[in-house]
Amino acid sequence: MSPETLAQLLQGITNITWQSVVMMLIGGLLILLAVVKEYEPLLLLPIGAGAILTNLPLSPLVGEGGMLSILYNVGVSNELFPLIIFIGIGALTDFGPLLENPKMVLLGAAGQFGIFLTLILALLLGFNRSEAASIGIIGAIDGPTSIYVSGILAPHLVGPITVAAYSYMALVPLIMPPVMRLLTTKAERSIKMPYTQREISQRTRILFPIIVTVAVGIAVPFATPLIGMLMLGNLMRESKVVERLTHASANELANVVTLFLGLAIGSTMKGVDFLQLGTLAILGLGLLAFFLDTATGVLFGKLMNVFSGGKFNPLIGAAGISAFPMAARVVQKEASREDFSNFILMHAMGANAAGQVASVIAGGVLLALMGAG
Amino acid sequence: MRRYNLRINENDHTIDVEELARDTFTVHLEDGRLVDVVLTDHQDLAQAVIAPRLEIGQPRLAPATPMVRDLPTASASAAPPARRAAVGRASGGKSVLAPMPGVVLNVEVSVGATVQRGQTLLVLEAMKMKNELKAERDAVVASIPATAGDQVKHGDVLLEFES
Repeated sequence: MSPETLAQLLQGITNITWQSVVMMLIGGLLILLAVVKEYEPLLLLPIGAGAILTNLPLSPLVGEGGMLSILYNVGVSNELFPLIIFIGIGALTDFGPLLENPKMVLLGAAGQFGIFLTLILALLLGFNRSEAASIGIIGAIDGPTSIYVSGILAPHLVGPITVAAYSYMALVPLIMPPVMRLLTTKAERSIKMPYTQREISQRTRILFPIIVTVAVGIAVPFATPLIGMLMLGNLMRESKVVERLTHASANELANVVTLFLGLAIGSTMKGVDFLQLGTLAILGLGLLAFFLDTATGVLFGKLMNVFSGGKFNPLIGAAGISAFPMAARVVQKEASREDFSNFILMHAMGANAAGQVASVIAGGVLLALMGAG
Repeated sequence: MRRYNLRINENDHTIDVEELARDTFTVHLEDGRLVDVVLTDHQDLAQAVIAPRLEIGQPRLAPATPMVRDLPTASASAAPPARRAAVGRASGGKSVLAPMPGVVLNVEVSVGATVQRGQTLLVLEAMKMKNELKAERDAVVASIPATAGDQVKHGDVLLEFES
């Protein structure tokens, strides 16, 4: 056997690099988190698998004609996949609690300050403007928004940003409570809020997505794709006449695209690009963005409490961060931890739904600021 | 919850009015029906004769027999006299009300059971979240109108204690 034949047969082994081994271990870690801890398994498992498949030596799945690269080109580089997922999110989101309590919009806005604080910090750390904006968008605490914005502004960072966004989102029940407890007093956490169930007419429910889309689209054109798809899903849901489409968007379509998106994101995690100090900085800043969002939300909640004369439970502010509906549940848990007869879930859901819309708008504002196209 | 005992054409009637919000009431009729009432406006019309002289604020089950005299037969249905029927919503009270709309997942106690403050009575699923409704005082369960699987509205009576 000639040495060349031998080299060809063994090229799998000879092309292993330490970076690819580390990346396969990271992929394994993501799968482990998905399987054992059930941290956002629907995304972290395909991402982990994608990372392993990509970093196998000479992997034919990436590069010209490789399946993962095709998926990336078809759906991530042109923003198609996150937008399709947004239709499904819209089809699953009930804006009823927000319509019952429209002032919660303010909290949705307050929960986005972390984006801009993180952006400034990232600039100070030496990231360029587009990179800093992409890192800041982790603070939108919304996976598809993060992928969408970073995909436009800094495609080379999509991998770490997505991993950071989804991992921390899974950790919301651990990240938020310490901040919430630190910034509020026991008395504030125990504030009860009267809840009145208001019947929201179907006409209002149908008009809401249309009006929001038109208003946001005119105010922040860069947010049109995200808000448009989110509200399209919601319009289908509330219209009640296209249940097959609503069901498909929220289930089959979203599931298929989630699989493709996860694999494609995983394929961006190439050892040489991923294993850099910058990735660690992104992970750190992303975590910080979560803390800052929660803090500004709660602080704004405290402000609303002052204005309402002590009748507003500031914990609800923390639900303004998006991460629907997990954040609202965390708020309810914290409130009932202080007083088991306190139920502020519906108020928190209102703030949470507002946060969902606000984070999309914030993403559009960020794109507009960066002058992206 | 406020109880009104009415005598209409020699017949005694009892209705319980429960304030959900300042202008929203649930009226419990004798036959067990619940009627939602929204008070949009109230005013004294010419020659208003409604000036009930009763002692208000007596304990719940005291038979304070109000007398509404000379009242035309039909119009004695649910019309709380003013917006002051406020009784803090079930806080330490007799009934456990649904704090928000949702589905009753589980009833954890049975009629006649003695419960302690903090004990879970029912599990209510709202917005896909399981919420444990706990007893706010030591009490004995008198009745449980709610059953697992029920879709409930805000303010529905889920469970009642013996007073």
